[in-house]
Amino acid sequence: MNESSRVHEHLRALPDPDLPAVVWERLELARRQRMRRRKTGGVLATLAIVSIMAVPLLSRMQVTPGPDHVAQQQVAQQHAAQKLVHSAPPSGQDVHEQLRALDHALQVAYDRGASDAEIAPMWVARNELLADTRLRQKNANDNRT
Amino acid sequence: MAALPEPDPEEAALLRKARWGDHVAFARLYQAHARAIHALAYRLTGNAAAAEDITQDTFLKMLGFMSGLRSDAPLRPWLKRVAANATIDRLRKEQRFVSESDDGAWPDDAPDPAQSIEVMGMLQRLPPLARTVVWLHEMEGWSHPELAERFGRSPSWSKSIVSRGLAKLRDEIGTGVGRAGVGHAGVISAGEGHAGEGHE
Repeated sequence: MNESSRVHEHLRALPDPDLPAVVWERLELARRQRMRRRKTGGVLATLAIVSIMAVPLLSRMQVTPGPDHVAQQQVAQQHAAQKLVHSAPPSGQDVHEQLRALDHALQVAYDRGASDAEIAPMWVARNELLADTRLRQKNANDNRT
Repeated sequence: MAALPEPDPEEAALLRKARWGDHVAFARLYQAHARAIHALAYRLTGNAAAAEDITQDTFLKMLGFMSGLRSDAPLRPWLKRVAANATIDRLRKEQRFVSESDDGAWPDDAPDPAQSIEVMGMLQRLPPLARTVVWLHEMEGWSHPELAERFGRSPSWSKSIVSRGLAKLRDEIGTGVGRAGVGHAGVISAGEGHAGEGHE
C-alpha cells in the first residue's frame, strides 16, 4: 500500500462523531418560527390583495333604498349602462392580471392551510370579477347588434 | 468530483412529499443524511459546536430551497456541498484561513503524545485551510479546479496545499502517532514496525 493510500485509509476509518439530538430540536424550532412568519406574511398579503380587488367591486354592488326603489333602480341601471357603453372597458390584459393575482393569492392560502374564513372572501372577489367581466362583455355585444 | 450515486426512488418520493409540506418525510430525510453532514462539518471545522450549527443551517437551507431540489438526483451530494460551502464561509469569517505562506500555519512542534494516538487528532492539527482542502479533495472528491474556484485561487495552489497536508499526515502516521489506539478503527498494515515496538 503506498503512502497516499495509507493516509486515505486512516482518514476513511475515522468514526463519525455522535449527532446530538439538540440539532434536530433547534432545526424544528427554526422551522416552526419560519412557518409562523410565512403565515403572518401570507395573511397580510392575502388581505391586501382581497381588499384591493374587492373595494371597486363591492362599491358597484351598493343600491340606494327609497320609496320608488324599482324606478330608481331602472334609472340607475340606464345610467350605468350608458356609462359602460361610453367608457373604456378594462382591457382584457387588466382583467387577466387581476385574475392572476387573485389565483396566486388563493394558491398561497391553500398551500399554507389557510382557514375557510380567509379563503372565502377571495373566492367572492374572484367570482365578482368574472361576473363583472361577463356583464361588460354582454353589454358590449348587445350594443353592437 | 467523485461519481454520483444512483438516485434512490424512495428518497425521491420522500423529497416530493417534503416539498408539499409533509414534515414526517422531511424528518426521515434528516435521519438519513444528518449524521453524514454533521461528520463532514466536524472534520472540516474541528469544532463540535460549529459542526452542529452548520448541520442545522444546511437543513434549513434545504427547507428553503425544497422546490428547487430535483427528485431524480441524490440529495446527499447537494447537502454536502452546502455544508462544505457553509464551513468555508464560516472559517473565512472567523479568519481562520491564514496564508499558506505563513510558516506559523504549519507548526513543526511535536504533537502531544497523549492526543496523537488518534487520526482525528492528526487531522485537527492541520491548519484549518489545509484540513479543509485536504479533506474535500481526498474524501469528498473535489477536484483541484473546483477547490481553486471556491477559494479564488489557482489549481496549482490547491495541489500544493493538498500535497503539504498529506505529507504532514504521512509524517505523523509514519512516526507512529497515528497508530490505532484503544477503540480506534484505523487500518494498519501488518508488516509495519512502527512506534510502540521498542520505540520511545
